[in-house]
Amino acid sequence: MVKSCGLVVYFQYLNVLKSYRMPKPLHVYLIDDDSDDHDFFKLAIEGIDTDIECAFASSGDEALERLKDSGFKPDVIFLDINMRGMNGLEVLTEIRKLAHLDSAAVYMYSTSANERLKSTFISLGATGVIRKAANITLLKEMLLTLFQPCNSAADGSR
Amino acid sequence: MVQDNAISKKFPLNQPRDNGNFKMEISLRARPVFLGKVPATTKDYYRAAAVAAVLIIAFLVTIPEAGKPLTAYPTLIVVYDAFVLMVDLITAFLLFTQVGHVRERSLVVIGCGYLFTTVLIGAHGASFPDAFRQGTLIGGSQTTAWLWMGWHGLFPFFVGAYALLRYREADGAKRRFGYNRKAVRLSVAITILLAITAILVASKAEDLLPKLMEGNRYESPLTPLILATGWIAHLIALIILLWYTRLRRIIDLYLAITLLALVIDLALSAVFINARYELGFYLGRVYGLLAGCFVLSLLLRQTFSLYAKAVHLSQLLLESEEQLKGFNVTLESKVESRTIELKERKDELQIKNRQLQDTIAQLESFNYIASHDLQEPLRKIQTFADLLLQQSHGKETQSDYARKIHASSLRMSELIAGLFKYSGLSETEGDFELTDLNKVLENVKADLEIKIKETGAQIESGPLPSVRAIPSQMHQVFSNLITNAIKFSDKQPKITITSMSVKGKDIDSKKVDGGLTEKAFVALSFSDNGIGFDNRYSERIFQLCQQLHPRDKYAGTGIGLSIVEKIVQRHNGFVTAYGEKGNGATFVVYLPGK
Repeated sequence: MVKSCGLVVYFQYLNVLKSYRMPKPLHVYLIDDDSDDHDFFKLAIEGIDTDIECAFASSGDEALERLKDSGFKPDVIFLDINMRGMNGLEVLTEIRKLAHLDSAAVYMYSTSANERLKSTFISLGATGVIRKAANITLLKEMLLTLFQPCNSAADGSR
Repeated sequence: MVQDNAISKKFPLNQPRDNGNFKMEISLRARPVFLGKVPATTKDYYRAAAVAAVLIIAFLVTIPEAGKPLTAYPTLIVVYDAFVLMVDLITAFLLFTQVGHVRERSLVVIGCGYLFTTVLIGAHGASFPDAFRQGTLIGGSQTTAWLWMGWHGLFPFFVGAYALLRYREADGAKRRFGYNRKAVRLSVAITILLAITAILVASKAEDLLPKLMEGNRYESPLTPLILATGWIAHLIALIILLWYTRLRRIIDLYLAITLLALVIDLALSAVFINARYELGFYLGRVYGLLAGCFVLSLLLRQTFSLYAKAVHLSQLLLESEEQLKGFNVTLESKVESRTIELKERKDELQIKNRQLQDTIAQLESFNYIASHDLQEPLRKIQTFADLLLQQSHGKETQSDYARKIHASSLRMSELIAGLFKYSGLSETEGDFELTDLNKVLENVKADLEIKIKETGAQIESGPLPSVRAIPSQMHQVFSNLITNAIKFSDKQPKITITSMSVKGKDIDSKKVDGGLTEKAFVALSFSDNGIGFDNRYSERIFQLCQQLHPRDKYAGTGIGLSIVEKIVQRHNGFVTAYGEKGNGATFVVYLPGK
C-alpha cells in the first residue's frame, strides 16, 4: 500500500513538474499574401520552440474574418505591409478597432522599413516594425528577442 | 500737334514730347493771367520809363512858352472832354470786368475812380462856357472850374485808396474778398451818386462856393491855392502808389503814368498859366489825352493778347485731351494683349507643372519599387539558397527549394523588364502624328490572335476616331488594356470598345485641373465582363507594381496599367477605371481632341 501511495505521489510530482516546465502556449498569427513567407515563418518557429502555435492568413480580408471571432485571440500578430487587396495599414486600423485584441502585440512585417513609416504605424497602434530577414537564422534570432519577455511573463517561476 | 504759326512764336510753349510720355510745359510768360493781375515785366518798365521821359521833356519844353495866349476854341475843349470821357469809360469798364475774376477790392475802388471822373467830365463838357450857342447846359460861370477841380482833385484819392488796398490784399494773401455783387453794385451806385452830388453842388450852389474864375481868367487868390493842393494830392498819390504797390502789376504801372501825365497836365493848365486858351492850357490837355489813350491802348492790347493766349491754350488742351484719349486706347489694347499673353503663358505653365508633378510622382514610385518590390524576390532567393546550404534535405525538398529560387529570379527579371519599359517611355519613342485608332485596334487584335482564339474572346468596337498621338504608344495602351480584360476573366471574355467626344468637365478624375473644363477630349472606353475589382481600388491599380489578386491565381507584374497611365499622361490625357467585383470593369482613356 505504501508503494502505491508513493507511486501516486510520484506521479502527482511529475504532473506538478510538468506544469512548471510547460509554459503557456504562445499564439502567433501571420498575415501575409506570400505563401513562401508562411513557410519561412513555420520553419523559424519550429526551430525555436514547438509550443508556439502559429496560424496563417493569406489576405487582410481572410484575417479579419477570423479575428472578428472573439474566441480567436492571438498574442502576437505579424502583419505584412504590402499585400494585394487590403494593405497592412488598413488591416492594422481594423484590428485596433477590435476590443478583444487590445492586449495583442501587432508587429508590421516588411521588406523595407523606413523611419517615417515606422512612426506612422506606431501612431496607428502597431507595437513595432520588423524587417523581413534574408535567411531563417536571422528570423529565428529576431523572434527569440521578441518572445523573451512574453515567455517570462507566462512562466512566473523563472 | 501745335501749329507753327505767329502765335506760337509769340507765346512759346514747350512742344509735347512724342515718346509716349506726354508732358506739357508752359513757360511762365505764356500763361494767361487775368488783366487785373498781370505782373509788369522789364519790357513794360522800359516802355513806361520812355513814356515818362517823353512827358517830362515835353513839359519842360513847354514851360517857358506856357503863358502865350492863343485863339479860343471852346468847342475843341468839349470835343476833348468827349474823347477823355470815352477813354475813361472804357478803362472803367475794363477794370470792372476784372472784378468778378480777380476779386480784389482795390480794383473796385479804382474802377469807381474812373467812373467818377467819367461822370464829371461829361458835366464839365456840358458846362463849358461859350461852347454852346444857347449858353452852358449846366450851371454858370464857376461851375466848369469847380467841376474841373472835383474831377482832378478827387481822382488821386481813388488811386491812393487803390494802392493802400493793394498793400492790404498783398499778392497771395489768404483772405479774399468774396465776390459780393451787391457790394460792387453798391459801390458803383455810391460813386455815381457822389458824382451827381458834386455836379449839383457845382452847378446849383455855385454862389456858395468861392469864386475861382473871372471870365476866362484865373482871378481869385484862392485859385492857385486850390490848384496847388490838387497838384500836391497828385504827387502824394503817386508816391503812395509807388511805395505800396512797388508797381508790381501792369495796372499799377499804367496808373503811375496816368498820374504823371495828370501832374503835368495840372501844372500846365493851371499853375504856370493865368487864363484859358493859353499854350500851356492846350498842351496840358493834349498831354493828358495822349497819356490816357496810351494807357488805354496798352490795356486793350494786353486784354487781347491774354485772350489770344487763352484761346491758344484751350486749343492745346483739346489737342492734348485727344492725344490722351489716343494713348489711353493704345494702352488699353496693349494691356489687353499682354493679359492674353500672360494667360496663355499661365496655361502653358500649368500644363508643364502638371507634367512635372507627374514625372516626380513616377520617379518616386519608381524608386520605391526598386527598393521594395525587387528586394522581395531577392530575399527569397537568399533564404532558399541559405536553407539549401544549411541543412540536409530530402531530394524532393531540394528540388522544391531550387524551383522556388528559379521562380523568384524569373519574377525579378520580369519586373526589371517591365520597369525598363516603363522608364523608357519618356524618351522620344516616335513623333506625334495623326493616328487612326481603328488601325491600331486591328494591329493589336492581330498581335493577340492566339490568346483571343484560346479564350474565345469577343472584341466589339464602334468606329474609332483619329487622334494626334504616337502610334506605337497607342498600340501599347490598347494591347495592355485588352490583355488585362482577357486575363482577368473567369468566363468567355467579351470586350466592348467605344469612343465619344466629351469636355474636360465631364471627366471624373481629381487630376483634371480647372483650366481644362472647356477643353475637348476624345473618350475611349474599354469595357469587359471579367472578374472586376473592388471600386475603392480604382486609383491604386494604376500605381506601379500594385496588384489586387493573389499571384497564384492571376500572374503579372502590376506594371501594365502604370504603363498605360504614363503613356496617356504623356499625351496630355487622363485614364480612369471603374469596377464592380464579379461584374466586370471599364477603363476610359481621355485624349485631347481638336
